[in-house]
Amino acid sequence: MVETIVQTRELVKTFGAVRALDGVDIAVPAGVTGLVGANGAGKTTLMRILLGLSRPDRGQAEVLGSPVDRDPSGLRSRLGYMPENDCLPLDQTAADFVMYAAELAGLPTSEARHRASETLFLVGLDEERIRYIGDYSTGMKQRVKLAQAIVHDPELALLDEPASGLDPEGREEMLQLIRRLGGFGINVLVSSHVLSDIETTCSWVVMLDGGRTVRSAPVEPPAREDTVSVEVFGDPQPLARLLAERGLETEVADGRLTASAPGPERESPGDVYEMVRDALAELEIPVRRLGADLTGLEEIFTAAASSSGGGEERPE
Amino acid sequence: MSDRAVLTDRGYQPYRGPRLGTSRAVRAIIRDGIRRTLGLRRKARRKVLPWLMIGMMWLTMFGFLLFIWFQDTINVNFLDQPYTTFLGAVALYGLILTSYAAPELLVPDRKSGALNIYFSRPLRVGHYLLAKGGALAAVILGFWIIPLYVYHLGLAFLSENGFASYLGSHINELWRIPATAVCYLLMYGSVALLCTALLKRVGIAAGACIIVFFAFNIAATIAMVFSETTARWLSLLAFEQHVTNLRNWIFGQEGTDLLQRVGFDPWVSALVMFIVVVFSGFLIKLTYRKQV
Repeated sequence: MVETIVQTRELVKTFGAVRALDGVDIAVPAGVTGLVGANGAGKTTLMRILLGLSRPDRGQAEVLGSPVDRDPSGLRSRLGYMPENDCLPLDQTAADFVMYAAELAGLPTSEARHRASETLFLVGLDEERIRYIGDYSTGMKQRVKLAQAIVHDPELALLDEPASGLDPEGREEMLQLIRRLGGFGINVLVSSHVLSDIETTCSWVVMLDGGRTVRSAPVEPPAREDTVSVEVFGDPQPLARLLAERGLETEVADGRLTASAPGPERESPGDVYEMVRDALAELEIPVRRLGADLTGLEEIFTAAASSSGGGEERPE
Repeated sequence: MSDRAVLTDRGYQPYRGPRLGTSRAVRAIIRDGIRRTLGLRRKARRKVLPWLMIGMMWLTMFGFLLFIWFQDTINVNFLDQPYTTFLGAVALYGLILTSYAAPELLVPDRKSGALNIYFSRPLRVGHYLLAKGGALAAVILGFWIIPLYVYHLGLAFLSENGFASYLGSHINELWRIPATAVCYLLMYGSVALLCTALLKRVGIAAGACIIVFFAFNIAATIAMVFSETTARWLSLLAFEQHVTNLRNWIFGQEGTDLLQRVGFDPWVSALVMFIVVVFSGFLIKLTYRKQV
């Protein structure tokens, strides 16, 4: 299996006056990767380019080590795609349709039938597989869409907003299924505009905003050991003053205090976590939250989008 | 549960078998297209129209044979042209079936968004359209050829000269039957595909196709009364007349009254058919190139 499953260089795609992709430059490692961005950020356009269904105006894209324009048909037999929009024939049973989808990927009939049955069982449609898709709920239709995308055991599954239109329970079940795919050796590129979905499902995230890459990096930002974040009930300023007196650098924003050791030019006054804990005890301030300075994806996205800077990392 | 029973998690099994690529995908589309057209593995109401037309075809065929069997008794012998007369009687069924089958093959995929799935597989637009055309050909040729050969055998059984003698003396019918079926497929199928490319609903596309066949036929016939020049131009679009002209030519008979009067030989009909086939193929490919 290749280490980098998707790589793009300066991808540009325009539709009339609209610039859907504006120099997208990413490298995605194997595993489950999230593609996040608001509606119109260019997620679907990027997926269609990766599938070879749409040609970029400029730039290059490689999927599974092959340029997408070299042998698009050959490449697509190794890919699975779950479109965001409706794509299911309502007058067919799920069993027939998923088997058909497997045959379209080149599997022999007997194997396709077997795989369809196994895959529908995997996505939680066992007994219901012989019902017409038109009689299914939205959640069941999403499962059929996922089943057709993975029935031929692709090396990479491109899932476009798989949890779209689902209730919270259905959404969680769908995300669980996607998490399991990674364990089966299927690489996944899943798009969503819900950051928390990506945060709980993926190990790598690509953030797009207005057709530009704002971040391509691991989901979990590295926690800084020398920085502690604390939220207290009441005013954090007395705590900030005390910690500053004791040699720590402090910053208060949105009711949250961040305390960190001074830079390398100055001697560290001690373990930051212990100093914050002791100061809290001394001032008898009730604590709401105390921990490492982890930043959520939402904050990263907001910060990155506002600075419009490229936060691209390359997988090791 | 027995105490010896064991629960086993089958887990996920990676696929290690062959991947047969585009050729397998094309075959799958053809098979699915045949099923879709005939309503197989679909709800009952999907089966009504195609099987009604197929049933009418066979009923008419057996009716003709029955009539020929009794024609001496009732002393009527108007079936001196048994093949073209029969084909003329069942042409409408073929037109209705083709008009329904072409949009049924293509429109639902466009409407349901399933094209996204087709083209995420190792397929190109050309493969997809070729496979759909293959499914249409399989159904329509089967609709014409199978009952016509049975009819041919029936005529041989009823022949006064004996079965073998009839078959021997009518050996040319063996190629005339499929040749006629191909003409019906190309002419009806092309116009039906043309309507399918332009219209978005199965019923409307099917209705438009039938109207096109009848409207120009009627218009050309009426124009003949007033102006031969107008009738001549309108006759070029009277597709039903052209396919009948070709059918009669294949069976060694005279062309239709209208086309004979405006002076169109069978080669004109063949040219019209060729142009319709090319134009409809071009337009439908253009439609799909835009969509994908």
